[in-house]
Amino acid sequence: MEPVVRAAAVYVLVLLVVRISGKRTLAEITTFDLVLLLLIGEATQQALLGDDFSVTNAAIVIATLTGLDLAFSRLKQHSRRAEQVLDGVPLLIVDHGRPLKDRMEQEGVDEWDVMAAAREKHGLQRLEQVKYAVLEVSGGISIVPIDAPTGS
Amino acid sequence: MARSKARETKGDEEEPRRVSTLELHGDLAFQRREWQAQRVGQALLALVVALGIVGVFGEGLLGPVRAISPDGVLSVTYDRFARRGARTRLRIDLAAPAEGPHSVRISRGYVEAVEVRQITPAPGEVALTPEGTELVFELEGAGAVELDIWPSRAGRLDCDLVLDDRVRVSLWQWVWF
Repeated sequence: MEPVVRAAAVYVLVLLVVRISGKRTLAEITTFDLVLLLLIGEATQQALLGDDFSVTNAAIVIATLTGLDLAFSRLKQHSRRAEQVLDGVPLLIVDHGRPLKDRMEQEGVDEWDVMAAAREKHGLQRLEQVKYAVLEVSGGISIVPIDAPTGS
Repeated sequence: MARSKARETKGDEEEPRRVSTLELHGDLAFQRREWQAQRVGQALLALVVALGIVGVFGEGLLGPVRAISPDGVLSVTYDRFARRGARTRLRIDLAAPAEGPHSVRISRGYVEAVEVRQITPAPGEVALTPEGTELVFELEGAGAVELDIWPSRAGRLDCDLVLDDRVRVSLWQWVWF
C-alpha cells in the first residue's frame, strides 16, 4: 500500500510542478537544465522508495508510475478537458508577422525564440516572413511561413 | 511605420482575426485560467520555500521549542515540526534533582508512533509499563538526556514525560508525511 501511495504522491507532485513552471521550462534542455533534472530525480528517489530498496518495492513503484501515466493517457484520449488540464493548450504567439506580446510575455517567449525556430526549421530571415508561430504544449515553437500552402 | 509599431505593441486581448487557415485546437479562455493557476502555483512554491526556511517543515530558523514543568525541574527541548522517517531530537533536562536513580516515563502513544534509535546517555534500566516506557538513569546533580527519534507516523503526536512519577511535561509535535 505505502509504495503505491508514495509513487502516486510523487507523480502528482512532479506533474503539478511541471505544469506550474510553464510550457517552456523543459522545452529546450540546456546543460544546467539537465543537471537540474538529475538533481530533481535524486531528490525524489528517496521519497519514492523510502527505506525499502527491495526489487519488489521498485517493481510496485514502477508499475504505479507507469499505470498512472497510462491511465492519464486514456483519460486524455476520452476527455478534451482532461487533455487541456494535464497537457495545456497550444497558443498562437505570432499572427501574420505580428508578435502577440502579452501571450509571449506570459509564456516567457521572446521574438528571438520565434526567430530561432523560424531559422532552424524554415531558414526564414525576418519575423514578417512568419505567418503563424504556435507555442505547442510540448514547449516547442511551430512555424508556418507566410508563403506556406494554405491547403483547402 | 507608426501604425505598424502601434499594432505591434498593442495588447492582444482580442483573438487574432485571421486564423481561419490555421487549424489550431487552442482555447484562449482556458489558457488565461492556466496562467492564473500558474501564478497561484508559483506563489505556493515560493511559500513552500519560505515556510521551509522558517522551519514549518522542521529544522528551520524558528529552531526547537521548549516545554518546562511548573517547578522548572523537568524541561524538554524538541522540534515542533518533524518529518516522518527523518531524525528529530528530544532533549530532556533535569535541573538539580537529588542524586540517585531517576525515572523518566515517556507516554505509550508517543513511543508507539516513533522509533527511538539512540538514547544518550544510555539508561541503566528500561521498563515497559502500561502507561509507557520508563527509562531509569543514575544522575549526580543536574543532567540531560538526548533521544534520537525517527517518527514513523504522520500527523499530530502527543507526548507526556513524567519524572519520578511526579513531575509531568506535556508536548505535541506535528509530523509531516
